[in-house]
Amino acid sequence: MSSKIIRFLCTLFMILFGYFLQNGIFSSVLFLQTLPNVLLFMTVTYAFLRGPYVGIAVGFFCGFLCDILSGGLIGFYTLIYLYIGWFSGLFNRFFYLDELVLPLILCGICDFLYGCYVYVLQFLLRGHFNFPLYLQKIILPEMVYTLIVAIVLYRIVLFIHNKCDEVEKRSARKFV
Amino acid sequence: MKDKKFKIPIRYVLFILTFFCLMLMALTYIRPAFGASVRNAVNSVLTPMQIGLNKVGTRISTEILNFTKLRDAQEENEQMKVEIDRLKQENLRLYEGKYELDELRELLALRDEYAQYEMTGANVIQKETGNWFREFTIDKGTDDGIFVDANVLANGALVGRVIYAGKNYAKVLSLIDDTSNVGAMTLENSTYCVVSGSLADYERGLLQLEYTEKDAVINEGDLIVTSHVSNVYLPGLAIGYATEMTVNPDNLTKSGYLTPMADFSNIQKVLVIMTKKASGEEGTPGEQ
Repeated sequence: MSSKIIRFLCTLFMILFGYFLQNGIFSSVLFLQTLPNVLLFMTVTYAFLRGPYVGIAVGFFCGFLCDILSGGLIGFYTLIYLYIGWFSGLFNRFFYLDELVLPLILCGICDFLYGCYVYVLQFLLRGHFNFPLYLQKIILPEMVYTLIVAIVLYRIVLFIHNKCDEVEKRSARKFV
Repeated sequence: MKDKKFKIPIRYVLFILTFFCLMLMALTYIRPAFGASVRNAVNSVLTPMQIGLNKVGTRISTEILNFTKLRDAQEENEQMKVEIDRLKQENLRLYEGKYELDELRELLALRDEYAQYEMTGANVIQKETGNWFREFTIDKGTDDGIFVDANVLANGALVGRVIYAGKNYAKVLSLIDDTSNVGAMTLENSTYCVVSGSLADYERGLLQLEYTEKDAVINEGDLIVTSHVSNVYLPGLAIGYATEMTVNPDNLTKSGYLTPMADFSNIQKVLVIMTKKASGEEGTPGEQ
């Protein structure tokens, strides 16, 4: 089994894991008011770790999953996740091992942009001008929860990423 | 190998995919059926897993909720225990209060009987060793107006008189003491007699009744009260009931026994009559 396929499968698995975490488990925990956006975190992290191309691919896929989940136009979330993946991927060159601050800041900014995007296109254009209310009730809580999840899960994603790297290096050595 | 790989510049990728997304949105908008079919296709794969995970999530949350409920229940349990202890103590106090209340009510009831006399209540604070009181101490003294020879009542009947009054305590000589003698009479006929304590009889719970005229009418069960002729005792105070009257060998008097009304084995609250018997009256023979 090629290392690339392993890598691909791992990524796929993590995305699905994030999806089910967000919509399966967290949504059924009874006392949670706001859901953490695990898929967004996954996108940001994978993009940050692997670069813009992978970021776009992961973003596209995550956004697509979100679109399936939601009842609106398909492509709405795909678009924003796409750009989030690209945006986070740009920061790949600043990637240092074991650093937690930059991914978290990135996650926070992206979640905020995501929130604004959703607000502008879904609410503002329909005449709901009360931005501070949405900011306080939806955008900021989601940011907080997502960051909490990010702190917990980042290590796991990093670990899997490093493992895949090792597998890839080992297979690369074989070719030499 | 990697160097030869052709990488499309990223802005093109972005542009193409953005365009693709917009197309998707337009398509979904124009043909909702398309959106529905895509969703169905994907959901058919994801939903079974979703259901399973839903159960997991609910389970986790109910466990957590149960845990907090348990903690709350435990805290409440501790509070309840403290409350129960407090209530038990209070209950005990209230029971004691109730007994006291009943006793006081009794005393009060008898107080109405002797309403003409001024009385004060006192507690027995020390008794003689042994079951029957011969001499006991009460918790009021000269400070409260107690004086020597004051009559002492308990359970509605005469139990003795004060023989010594200290500042805040007093000693009372009980009727059952050997040296105690009370000039008494029957309530119905005012037949005169003397009630005295007796060493031999107090174990039987009786007092002696003597110096009655042979022909005097005194029946079994007659209520005996203190008579008017007495240096010390105020008249009309109940003492007990006459029993076992027999004629004496000298054929001049008859005597018998008296069942006292007061329970000498258990005196706790007494009433002391503050009215002093007016002095100057001649005492009757045999009376102290």
